[in-house]
Amino acid sequence: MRLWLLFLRSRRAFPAAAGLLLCAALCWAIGSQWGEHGDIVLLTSLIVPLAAAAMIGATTTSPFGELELTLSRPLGTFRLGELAGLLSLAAAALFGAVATWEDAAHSWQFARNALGLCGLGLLSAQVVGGRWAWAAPLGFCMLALFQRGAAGDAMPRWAWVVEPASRATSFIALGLLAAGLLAAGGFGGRVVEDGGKA
Amino acid sequence: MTAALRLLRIEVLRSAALWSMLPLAALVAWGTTATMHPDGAPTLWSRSCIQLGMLCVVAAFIMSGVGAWAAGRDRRRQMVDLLVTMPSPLALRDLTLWAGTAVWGLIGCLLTGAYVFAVAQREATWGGPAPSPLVIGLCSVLASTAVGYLGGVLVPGRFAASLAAVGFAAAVLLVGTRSSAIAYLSPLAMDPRGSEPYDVFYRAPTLPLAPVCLWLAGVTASALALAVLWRRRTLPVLGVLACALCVATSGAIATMQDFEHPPWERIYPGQPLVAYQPACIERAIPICVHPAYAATLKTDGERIAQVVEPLAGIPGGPVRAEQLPSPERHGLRADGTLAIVPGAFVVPRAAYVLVHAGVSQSLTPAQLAIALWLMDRTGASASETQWMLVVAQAGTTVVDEPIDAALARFAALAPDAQRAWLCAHFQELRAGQIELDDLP
Repeated sequence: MRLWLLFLRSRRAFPAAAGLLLCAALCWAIGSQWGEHGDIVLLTSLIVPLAAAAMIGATTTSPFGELELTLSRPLGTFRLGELAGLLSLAAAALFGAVATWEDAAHSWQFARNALGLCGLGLLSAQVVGGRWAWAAPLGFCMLALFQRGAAGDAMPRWAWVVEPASRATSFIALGLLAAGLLAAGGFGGRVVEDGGKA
Repeated sequence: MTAALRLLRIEVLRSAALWSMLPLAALVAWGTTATMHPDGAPTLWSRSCIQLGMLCVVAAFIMSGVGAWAAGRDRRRQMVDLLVTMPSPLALRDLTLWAGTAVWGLIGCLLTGAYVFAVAQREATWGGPAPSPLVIGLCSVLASTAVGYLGGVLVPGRFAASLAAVGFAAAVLLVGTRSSAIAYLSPLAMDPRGSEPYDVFYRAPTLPLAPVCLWLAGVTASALALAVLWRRRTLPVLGVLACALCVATSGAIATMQDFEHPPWERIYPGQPLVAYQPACIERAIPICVHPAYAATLKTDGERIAQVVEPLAGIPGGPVRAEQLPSPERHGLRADGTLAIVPGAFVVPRAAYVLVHAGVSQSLTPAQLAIALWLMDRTGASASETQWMLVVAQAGTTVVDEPIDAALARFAALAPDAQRAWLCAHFQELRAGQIELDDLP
């Protein structure tokens, strides 16, 4: 148990969890004020899950660098456990916050976006490191948003994040999440030159 | 001065933002070229320049995170105490670090700008480049890097970069959605939203470049001054902050006043038309389009020619096909001019207005059968047929069997018989007076 607590502290998991709850609270507040404005709902369905994904991606960075690899316990268990906990919290919090809106049909859309963007962030963390893991999901969301504005009804499949919840988009998001968890659980975030110090 | 330039050179060459330049350039280039041709539209200078500017604003979102990352560099490398002994002023270190970070974002956007301009120069057939959107995009990069830098100074830690980037993006996007003058303060206000935002017939509203640049410069200077002030409060920096806030306020007020029209309204009728010489081809009838659409004349023109061929020269039929400015862009005019709209649905739109003169949107079964026959002559695609069915039958996309049978019967006639029937009944067909059983 103590090892788990130390691991979570090293990854700043508790501030991240607090941040996720803040995101959910923000979501609830936005919905209660502007829940009927289509533009604001669309932007919130992108930005709040993006913030959650960015925070979770940042927790993949180890402050110990390569030294952590000498641990006698399997690191993958700790990594996956931490990520699974944060992901569950993010999805449940967002789902619950949006469920209180007048139009609760967006609940799964928010949760889907959070999970899919987290997966994308975890995958990019393997390349650029956990602290830069926000860049790929942010760029992806903005491209999808602009594509939606330009393409109108003829949306390409890759821009799933701006589409309403459906089986196909859910599969894409969950596939990204699975790939991200596999990569993060197996390898963790990329170790940067300064040892990943916060 | 020499020392400052040397420090700047070191910051530029050692900046972490150097690695983001190529991905940013690739992101902006791909995003711009992917949105340059919606619905098969040709390359327009106006759309290309605006999309480039908008994607530079997206790059600015990422540069905000990069700026926050740069602000935390000394703390990450545990050099804060060491740098306190440095003889140069704190403000100089912050300025050079910010500049060394922002310059790579600017270079990325400029590289993409050169690429997009080269593509548009090759493909566009009318108009010329408008640098204002790119300039606004570059100013946004500078402002976002400064705001992100401030965020990194105020909130150090591993979440600083991500929260700065997402927070800046959220602020810019949400400000831009407001239905009031506040929306003009977002750099995304350069986006001409609404239907037909890039109508080439009318003079495009000019962007108030100087006020927007003043506003963004004020934001940049304010953010940098606050970052320096946070670490050490000195009177000169306080004075700089006060001036920067005045500049930002003046720029904001001037921006809100100088936008000609709200970005969510593009009201063209009544605006001055831009003079142009139409590009035309001669087939059964002359077919003309705006020179900006000259690249589509060969394909769309040939297809329109196939649609109108059976109707050329018959009473009430088209004598000319031309792309016209709104509000006359649809319909068959009394003088025989068929208004066409080049693009993905040029054929179904033309077929629709040829067979239909009424007020209601739906077509009668006989009108629909003839419209589908006209479209089949051009080898219409499934999406074009879908468009026709959705518009003509108020949403139903299934063709009834009687209409299918009437279409097959008419298509099986000899061309002379088809033309003879159309000569005799075309105007009645358009008026909705022909029943399905009246078709041969």
